Amino acid sequence: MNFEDELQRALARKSAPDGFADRVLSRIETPRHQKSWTLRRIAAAIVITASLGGLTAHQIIEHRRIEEGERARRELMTALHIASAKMRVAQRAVVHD
Amino acid sequence: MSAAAPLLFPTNDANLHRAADGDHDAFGALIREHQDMVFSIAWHFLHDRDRAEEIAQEVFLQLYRGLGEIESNAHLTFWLRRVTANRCIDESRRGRWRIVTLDEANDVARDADDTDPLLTRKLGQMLQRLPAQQRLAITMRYQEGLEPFEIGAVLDMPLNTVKSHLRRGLEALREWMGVKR
Repeated sequence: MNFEDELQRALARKSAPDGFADRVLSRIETPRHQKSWTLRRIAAAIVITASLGGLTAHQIIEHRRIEEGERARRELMTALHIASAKMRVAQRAVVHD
Repeated sequence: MSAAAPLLFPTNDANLHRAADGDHDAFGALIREHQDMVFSIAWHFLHDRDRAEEIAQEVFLQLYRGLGEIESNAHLTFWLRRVTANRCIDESRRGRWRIVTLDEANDVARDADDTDPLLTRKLGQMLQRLPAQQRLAITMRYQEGLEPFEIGAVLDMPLNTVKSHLRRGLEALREWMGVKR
């Protein structure tokens, strides 16, 4: 027996199991697919959060603007009432004199 | 000894470039081209079909992640041999592989003779008793047909260390198989 020839025969390449390449490819595609879906979900969540945040901010600003307008209107009316009262007082003083 | 699968050979890198560009069919072709080599290295090291396939799959998944770093088909072959060898070493360090006891080995050796049709199988079993580095060196030499300097490059060890592993491994196998020089 030529020992090294026997060793070479014993260590000859073996065929990989049937479907080996397909199993590797399926392990590659699955994480990629999942990754893609995960990224899409994250992107959708960001868009929805940003939209809701923008809408809320817009509503808060609008609400404050209306409140400020209302307060300015009330202050103007108060000022007009005061001015009107002063005018009446002055008018009466002028008539009496 | 004739080289069964030399380190360097005429290259057709088209599949490699297409696979690196994300072509799954091309990567599938690369797997099919090299799967026997990778699986066989793991099989001869572990002597366990399921774990050999597991390691081989992991090697190709690692290849997929690092395809951009592979420059040529020759580089790919070198890379696959090296990564498979490293994963086999890692596996042996985890201690998950089955150790063939001295008694089992002696039983097999006693049964072996020149006309035994199971001789090659018994030699494969004897190989499991060798230390990991010797086993890998002998696998690279007799499965892949690499020269000692090529084995040194793949296993990242000095030439003299490779020669020492080969010599000691062969001596041990001869002794266990009852073969005289």
